[in-house]
Amino acid sequence: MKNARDKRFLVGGVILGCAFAFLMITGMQSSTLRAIPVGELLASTASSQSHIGQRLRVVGFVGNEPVRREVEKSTSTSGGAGSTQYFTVHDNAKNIAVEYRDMLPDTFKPGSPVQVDGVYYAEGKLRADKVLTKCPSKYQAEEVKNADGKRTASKTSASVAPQS
Amino acid sequence: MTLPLFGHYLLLVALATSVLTIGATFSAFGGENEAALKRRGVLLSWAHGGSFASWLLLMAASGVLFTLFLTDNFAVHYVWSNSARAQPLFYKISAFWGGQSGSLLMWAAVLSTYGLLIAVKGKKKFPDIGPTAAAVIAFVNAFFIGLIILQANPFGTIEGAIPKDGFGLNPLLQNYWMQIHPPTLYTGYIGCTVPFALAVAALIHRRFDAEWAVLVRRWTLITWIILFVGIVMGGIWAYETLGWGGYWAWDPVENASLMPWLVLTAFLHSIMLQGRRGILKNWNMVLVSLTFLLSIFGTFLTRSGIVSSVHSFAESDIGGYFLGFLAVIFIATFALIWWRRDDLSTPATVETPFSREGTFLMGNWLLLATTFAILAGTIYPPVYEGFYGTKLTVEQSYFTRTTVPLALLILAIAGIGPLLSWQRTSSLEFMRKVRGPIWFAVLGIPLFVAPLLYFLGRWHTGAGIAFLLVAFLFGSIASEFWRGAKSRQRTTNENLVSAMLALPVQNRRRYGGYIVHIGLAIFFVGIAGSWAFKIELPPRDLKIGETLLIGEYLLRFDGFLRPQKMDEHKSSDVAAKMTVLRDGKPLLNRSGQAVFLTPRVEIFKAAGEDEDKQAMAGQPEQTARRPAIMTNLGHDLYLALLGYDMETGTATIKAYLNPLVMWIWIAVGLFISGTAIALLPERAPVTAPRSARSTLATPGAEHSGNGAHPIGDLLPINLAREIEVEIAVARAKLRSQNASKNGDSRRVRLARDIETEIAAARAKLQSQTNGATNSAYWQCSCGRSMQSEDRFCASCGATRPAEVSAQI
Repeated sequence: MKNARDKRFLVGGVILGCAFAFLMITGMQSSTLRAIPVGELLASTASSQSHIGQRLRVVGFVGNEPVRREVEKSTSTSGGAGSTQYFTVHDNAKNIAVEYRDMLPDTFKPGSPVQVDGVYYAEGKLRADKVLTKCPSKYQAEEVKNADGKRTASKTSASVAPQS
Repeated sequence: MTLPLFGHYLLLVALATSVLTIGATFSAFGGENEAALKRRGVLLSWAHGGSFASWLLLMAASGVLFTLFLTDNFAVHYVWSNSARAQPLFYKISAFWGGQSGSLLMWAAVLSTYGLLIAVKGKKKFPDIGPTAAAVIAFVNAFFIGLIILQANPFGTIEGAIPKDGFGLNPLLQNYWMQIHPPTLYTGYIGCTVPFALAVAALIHRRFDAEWAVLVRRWTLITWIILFVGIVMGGIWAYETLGWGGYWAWDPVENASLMPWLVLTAFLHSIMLQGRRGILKNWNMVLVSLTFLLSIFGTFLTRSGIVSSVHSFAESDIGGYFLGFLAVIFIATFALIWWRRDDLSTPATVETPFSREGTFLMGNWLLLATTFAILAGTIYPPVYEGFYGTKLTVEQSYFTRTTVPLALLILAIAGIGPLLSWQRTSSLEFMRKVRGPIWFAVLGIPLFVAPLLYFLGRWHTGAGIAFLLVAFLFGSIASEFWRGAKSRQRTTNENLVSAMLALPVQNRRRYGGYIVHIGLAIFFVGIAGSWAFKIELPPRDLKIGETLLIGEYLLRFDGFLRPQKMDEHKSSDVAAKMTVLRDGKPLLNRSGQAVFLTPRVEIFKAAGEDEDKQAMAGQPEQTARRPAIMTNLGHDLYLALLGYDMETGTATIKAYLNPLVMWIWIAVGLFISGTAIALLPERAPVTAPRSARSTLATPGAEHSGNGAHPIGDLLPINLAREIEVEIAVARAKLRSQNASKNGDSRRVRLARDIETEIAAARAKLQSQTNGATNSAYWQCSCGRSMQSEDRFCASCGATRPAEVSAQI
């Protein structure tokens, strides 16, 4: 660093670096969402670790009941009537009721693995703002395979890790 | 022998030939004595043969897999899980890369093609670097082939009864993007191995000269643009087909492809500095290794299942192998860099940040910071889970928060860069050059920024700053074109426009790069518009005749549409006719008809049941929503049909209005054309004393010239200076080595190598500048002293006087 001008660059660089680090850390803190399995979520209500009121992600499978739709009676100012969809997410034992106002993904069907982000506003109830299901082709082949249990590897094939 | 077994054997032999290439190259360069040198030619031709054989075998193996798909051979597990009898031919082909094993085979096949290209092209000009780089590629490929054989063999067969039909490829993947996005992306992604291989070869042979830098830069540019296009294709696919109205979700797999690209961009810029001034050799080695490591890490993230993603493959043990390979490469590369650290150090440096090199370096830092932010956000969940057991997910807001400020800084640097001179910029000169762009930016506020924000509907700080910086960048590059054209006009009789158009033709790399930067600016405009100003309505139920208002458009649902003949694979195919109105009147297309959009819902049938239970495992019923998009320069009107009720005549519509999306695609076009211009081979040089350029970037001298340097953008003046410095260093080294008699044999070799390199470079410089290696000067009438090689005065542009020309 020869002169004052270059020193100013160094100082500027350090300040920017600190600002960037600050952005990263605060961003991480405010933008992370805990992903909680259904069973754990329901169990937690009883204990002091209640998640009620928190925004979180629930991981599970889509329930087998058909999705219920409720259309609003009044139309909105821009036209058309809004709607809410009600479905359940389960972990093969317990389930949670989810309400969601937006579009369900194409791969959403009973039994699909699903991740739902939203506010857990009451015991067993989630108001979702985002619903994600897994990309089907890679996942479903494995699922169905293990269900029927017949798919085994031959000597020259790769072993496929069994799903739990 | 069955076809799958044959395919399997092809893989085994391909592994063997890869090992042959590695071994033969290793022993070819093993010794320096006479016998070894004689053997070298033979060994290298074995290695070359090995590269060719691996390529041939992997192509054959790929051919086998294609055949298995096309002949519906469901005895093969991979074919069963990705294809079906009724699957259209098109998608039987793309099913090749639809799963883990096939995509790894594609990786190996593409990589072997790169290896062959390097081996063939390198033979003539780079007899040492070429084969060694091919051997490095063979090494990486050996890992992949071994991995395929052990863990992900596409030729594995099913034991027991052969199923009558396959599972099939999900209908959502059955569109033309599946044909082009994965192969393009993989070609670019795998291409990150090539600069890395060239760098390792350079480290082994201790050859880091300008010619090598130019070679690496070329390969890097090719990989860079292919990878960029591959990533963009993924975005377009998501946008056009998947119906969630966006093109980038900061999904871990998306990030995995973006990170190597960002570091590759940084490397692309700093390798230019190495080619020009021989600096930053260490830095470049680190950058190129980082690019390759990130590409392997990226594929590890995708395939290991440790991050949850819509793209991810099913979990398997394969992740561990990648981590192991990653560790090996990391340790080996950095050991190599450490071993050659003396060769990598140069006396020349980036003297001050206030220079062209300085802006390149700052740009590098910003790109690395962006990569770091993305990497942190992507691996934070699995790392956290490893420590605390809780699963976490990082939302999109983290990524936009961290990358947007960095993107704005990059935009600013890209604007300032062309205004600074090489080595150091005088403040006076900078003030003179920056005036034009600042005026551009200032005038841009009422002429560009304000109207654009008005069009978009509201104020947004980030977008406002971005638009201002874009105006500045435009001004900066326009001023460069202006200066270049003006100085060109001094020697040619062109008008301003033809002079400007001739600039990219004459100086391909610089002006190609400027075009790419303009593309970058427009890219940011498009992203700012579509991200910060998008309007997204929640789904609405509309009865026939009802309307939906979004932005300035009114959409009227006019009924359902069905195809006359429905595809046999589908159980239903319904579209909603949405007429588009603006200001109360329907929009009219060019032929005067009302414009309407038809978002669609298709339902694909479940695979039929069969007596054979295994065939029952087919594709379940699948719904696919196809959005309808109306694009113009201002907005994309994007509609998705979510559901419908025929009885009540109701359609559920989700509407988005995404501003400025078309500009993103225009920008991509500029990226591609700028890169194509930069890649075109330079024109053959004119023989006479070539016009050199001065060290201080000034209008007249820089752009004068009637023929490009054979090696491109080299500055012989800087080279001469550098050579002088290096001669001094070498002499000092030799002196110290002589003083301590019989010094370290490595040092002796080092000193001798330096002297040889310098002598060679001197000879080259001599032949190029016709003997003018001494820094002779001539005085211009304006008082400025110029080096004898300069034909034009840097300050006033006057031509070098005749008597000086005669001396050269």
